[in-house]
Amino acid sequence: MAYDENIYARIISGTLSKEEEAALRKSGEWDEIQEILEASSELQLRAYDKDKGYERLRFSQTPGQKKSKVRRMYYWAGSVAAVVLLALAYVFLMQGDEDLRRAAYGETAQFALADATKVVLNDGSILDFSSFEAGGQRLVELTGEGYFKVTSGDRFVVQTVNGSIEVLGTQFNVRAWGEDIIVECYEGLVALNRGSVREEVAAGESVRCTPKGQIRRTNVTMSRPLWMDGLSRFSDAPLAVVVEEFERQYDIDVEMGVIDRPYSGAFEHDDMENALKKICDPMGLSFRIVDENTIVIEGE
Amino acid sequence: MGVCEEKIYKEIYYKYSEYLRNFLYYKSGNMAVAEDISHDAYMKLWENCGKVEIEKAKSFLFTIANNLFLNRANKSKVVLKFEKSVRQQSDTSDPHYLMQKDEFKRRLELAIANLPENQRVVFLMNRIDKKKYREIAEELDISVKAVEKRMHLALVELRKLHKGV
Repeated sequence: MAYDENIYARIISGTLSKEEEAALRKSGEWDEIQEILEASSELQLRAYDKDKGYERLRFSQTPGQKKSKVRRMYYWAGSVAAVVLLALAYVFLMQGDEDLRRAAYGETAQFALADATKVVLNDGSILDFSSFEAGGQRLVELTGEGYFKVTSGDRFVVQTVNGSIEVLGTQFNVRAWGEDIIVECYEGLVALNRGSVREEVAAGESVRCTPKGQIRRTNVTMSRPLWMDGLSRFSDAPLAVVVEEFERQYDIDVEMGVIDRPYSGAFEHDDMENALKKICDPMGLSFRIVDENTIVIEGE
Repeated sequence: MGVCEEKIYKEIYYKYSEYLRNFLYYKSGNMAVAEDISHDAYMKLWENCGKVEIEKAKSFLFTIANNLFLNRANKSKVVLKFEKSVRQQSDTSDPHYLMQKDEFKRRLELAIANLPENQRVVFLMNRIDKKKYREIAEELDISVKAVEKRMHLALVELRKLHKGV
């Protein structure tokens, strides 16, 4: 039935004509929409603690000042004497019921969960452990990339948007940027789940799973991921993914046209020009440092 | 001096921070990301407090937050989750009906999460934040007509829940 446009939207704003309303009631659409509207207006999000949120903001610089280039740097005040006190206060304030950790750009974050599982997050990554119970359901949500050394106990699950990993006391690395999920196992055994795919990954193995469920297995000889030693390594990765990682590590923007070729190689995290050479040379590209915030990569 | 006065900045925080967080959550489906960006937007407001008029603060916040969201290196799939609602004690309907109602709610939540981002954000700002179309239009910097259109399309999509049990 052809109506005047956006008729459903006008049910909510109460701007329907008598004829429109009658027609909708007659066809049953009115009732269906009302049911949806009623049910959806009962939805709620997780509660928001404004006091706590404001406290975190207060540990910031004096007004009007340009923030230093390090993005997402946490809450350190200006004067040295104040830093110690504030640091202590911050630790007490945050440690209590903070249920997520994030690694700032260009840095890693290391911490332990309530069950003594050790986690190291690669830069830009976030771990949400609000659903984690040390003696019960051990569930965490990872955005990005993290290394886990899990203590033995009940099932431990790492959920990402590209799939989940299930373990029983072991060491492994999960990489879930972009659309694929890549697991490297250094000790023990893990199972990778994505849709209907379930793959076991044993120590010394690495498995990549694409959105379509394609699996690629390779072997792994290290005992921990290279990024923990300050390197990002890629094998047949789209150049865009490599450049994104570079942007995260060095906290800088890169302008580049669409270059479709895959990249295999590695770059370090502490020498930007060298890192750029490592990315560009094998691909026959060149780079230009425009200013402290931008780089341009060009070539074919 | 306007927003640089802590009293005023604090008021702006208490007034809009939850809505900002919600807005970012509707977009991203990730609470940590939503809180993170919301925090950054308020930091930017603080840094630029001398240049933003009090009446423009809300608009500034939403615009900055949207830009920060777009700039993020990784855009992950949306996995929106809602709090479990407490069943009213006074609801004495028969258990079968209640179960159907719960089931419908569950399917509705899934369908909402699967809506295209534009539609989903408008829909939830209206349903959960209880915002009128004019306010949504202002915060998203689009026309009221555009808001209505997205709302309409969202409902067209969600109506499909009624076909096929």
